[in-house]
Amino acid sequence: MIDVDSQKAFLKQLKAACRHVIADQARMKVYETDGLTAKKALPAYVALPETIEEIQACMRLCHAFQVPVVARGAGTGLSGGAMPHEQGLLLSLAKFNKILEVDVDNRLARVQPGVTNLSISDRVRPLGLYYAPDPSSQIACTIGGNVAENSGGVHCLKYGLTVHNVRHLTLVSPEGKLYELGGHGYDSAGFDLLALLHGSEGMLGIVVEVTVALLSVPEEVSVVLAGFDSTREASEAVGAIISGGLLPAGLEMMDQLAIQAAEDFVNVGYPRDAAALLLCELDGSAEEVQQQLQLLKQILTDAGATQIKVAATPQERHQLWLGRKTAFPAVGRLAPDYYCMDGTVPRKALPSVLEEISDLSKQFDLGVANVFHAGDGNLHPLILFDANKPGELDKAEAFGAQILELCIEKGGTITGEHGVGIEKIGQMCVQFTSQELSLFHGIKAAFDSTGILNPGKAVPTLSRCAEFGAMHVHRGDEKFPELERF
Amino acid sequence: MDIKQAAQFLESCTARAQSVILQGSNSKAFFGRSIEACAPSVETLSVSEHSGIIHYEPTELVVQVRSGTMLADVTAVLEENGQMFAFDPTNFGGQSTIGGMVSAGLSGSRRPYSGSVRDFVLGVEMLSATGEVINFGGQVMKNVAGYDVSRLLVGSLGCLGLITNVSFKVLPKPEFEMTQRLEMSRADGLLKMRDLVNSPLVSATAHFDGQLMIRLSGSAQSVYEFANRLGGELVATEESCWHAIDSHSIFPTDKNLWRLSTAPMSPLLLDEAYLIDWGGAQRWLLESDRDIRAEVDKYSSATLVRQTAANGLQVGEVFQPLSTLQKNIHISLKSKFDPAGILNAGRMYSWL
Repeated sequence: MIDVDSQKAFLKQLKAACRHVIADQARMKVYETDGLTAKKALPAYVALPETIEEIQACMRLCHAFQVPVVARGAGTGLSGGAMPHEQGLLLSLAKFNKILEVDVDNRLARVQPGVTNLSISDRVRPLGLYYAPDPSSQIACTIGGNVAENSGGVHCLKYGLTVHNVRHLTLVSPEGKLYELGGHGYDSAGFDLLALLHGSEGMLGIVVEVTVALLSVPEEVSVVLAGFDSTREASEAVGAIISGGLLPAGLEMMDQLAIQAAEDFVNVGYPRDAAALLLCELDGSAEEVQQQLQLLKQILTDAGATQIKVAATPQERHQLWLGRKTAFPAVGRLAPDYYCMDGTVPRKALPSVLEEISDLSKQFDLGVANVFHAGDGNLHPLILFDANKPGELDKAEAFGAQILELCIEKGGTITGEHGVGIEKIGQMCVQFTSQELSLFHGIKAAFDSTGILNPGKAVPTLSRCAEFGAMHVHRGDEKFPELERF
Repeated sequence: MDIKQAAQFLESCTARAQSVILQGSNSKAFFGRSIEACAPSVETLSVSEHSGIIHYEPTELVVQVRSGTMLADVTAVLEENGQMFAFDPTNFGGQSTIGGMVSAGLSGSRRPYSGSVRDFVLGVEMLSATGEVINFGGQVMKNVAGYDVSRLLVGSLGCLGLITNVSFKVLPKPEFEMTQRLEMSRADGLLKMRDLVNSPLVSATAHFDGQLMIRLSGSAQSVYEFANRLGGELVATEESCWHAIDSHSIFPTDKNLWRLSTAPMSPLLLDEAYLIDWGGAQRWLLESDRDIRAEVDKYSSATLVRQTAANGLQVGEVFQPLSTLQKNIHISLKSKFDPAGILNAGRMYSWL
């Protein structure tokens, strides 16, 4: 934190370093929150640099004055990772929105961090190519944010996460120095810092350029919808598909509340009476897809599917996906507010976890809809509540926290793809031991020795964990033995 | 030595600032710098007795294995269940261990088509330099809680900790595989590789000796149909080159073996390479004295993989030099994981 005179000097120099700076509160309002709207803060300053040199100058200045920096793409993140710091600079990468180069021969696209995920695929589709990771926010979310969160999407079961599809990054260090990681081949020398940067939530460096791998649009795609009488049968079918030797491009599940909400919203022909449905996409060569389709139908029938529908045309395929892709806003119409969770569990735990979530829903007296990446075991329970009713937000958060702890108990994790941000920082104390958290702090310090990048996010301090009181004793060790207990 | 003893040993080594070599079966002694040549009083900690599959559920596509387990033992069990490590793991002399496979981070022929070792690592348990058991990642496909330490450990050559067990994602083995051989020039071979890069049936490509080798994987019917369209001739399974490439036995040993990692269509050292694979992105060169590192561009990297026996132990640098800033991050990371600098010191770089 800096004194008033230093603040004035900082602002003056910031304006000299960067052409677009916002320092009045009214214009900063749009930056006060990301996709996790329950957490809000106004930054002290906003900068919208247009060149890498401006970013470097901003970082040098923030480093000299020890002003915290929070980088922001489109602000679609769901864990508060881009929530501003009240004494800090909000560094918007919105003006870095150009696709710099498409290298068709090497199947690479070099893009600026503020480019939206979908616009990369839109640009290269006429060439028969696309960029595989497709988070549901792909129309708005930026590739820089995708790197920060290691975003997934409905196709990551087969095509991997952002980390599997990025080859090279150009970064600015907290001291304002420019450096590069990765290469144009499949690996590079030294530790795999490229992998480490993925999912680092803006804590290690500012990404200023990204080179992504492009894939050929598959020759044939087939989408199958299957309805079931229970979520248990549907989730057991997920395991049967995978163990049957199929690797679908996407394998998604929706429960009855989500199905009905989607039908009311976009009317795509989902079975309203089904307790759960699976959407399964197969892709590859025409012969392979036909063979896999036969096998898939057999597996679904054996697993007790009451209805199987194969999209016959590209339009039908689009319709089937439309219900899934608009499920969040559709569920959003069921209640004034919803809280989207993001835990991952081993696939075999899906039936029991869904049943326990349903029990918790009764216990908390809050509705819950499930729309999720079943093939990956990545749950997205949507907890329905009304923030205007006193105590309901707290209740929803408590319900969410219990779901996350349930995920850990089942051998899973507190976040599959949305990140920790500010939202799940307490649950980090449950998932990790003090030694593991200390090592995370060590990694942070190796990149950012004075801790100016996105402070307070992603990795909790040990004292915060002691306060959180998550005395989760495992592997026979008491957690945080170095801290006094009161 | 069991894990408890190993932990005590590491703790005492850190306290005494005693250098330690971490190893599995030492099948990759040739790879990286020679620690013995640089630190005469070094002690050795082997994980070879720490072996066995801890947990394998074919329906989950997940296997968790102790680091000293022989790679061949794991692949045999996976095969019984119709599954595989989808990166064609490198197995030197048939002796490689799981820990060594992860620490070296070397992937085989399938890499451009289905992914690398690091892509399939889901979680790692390790002993820190001070002997604490720590865990990162887990057994689920998607996990973004905390920094991705398990992927950082892949290819770290034992410089950051002793890997004690690893969870991997595995994949179904293709129903059928065969290799097709086409006679063509290096330049034409490269173009053909480019055109096939995302063909769902192609699982390996290599060009050497005027021939392009293409491995096809899938259902027998679609593989045969695709092979007919490709042309060329079928290579008998026992004569196929993939294992020989992945274990380096295809390369003569009278010269230094260099590996170049570059953009697949790069003109860099294309014609001089003894063999190119990975769709053109990996190039192998045999050289007497030439150091190719000075010749690469900033998006490529070269490694002196193996020196001739005549040259003895590798005491010079073998990897592509890093930028000053990257070097500083490496030194700082190393000091956080290994404060006394005892773990495989100098194996990757003389200064690390």
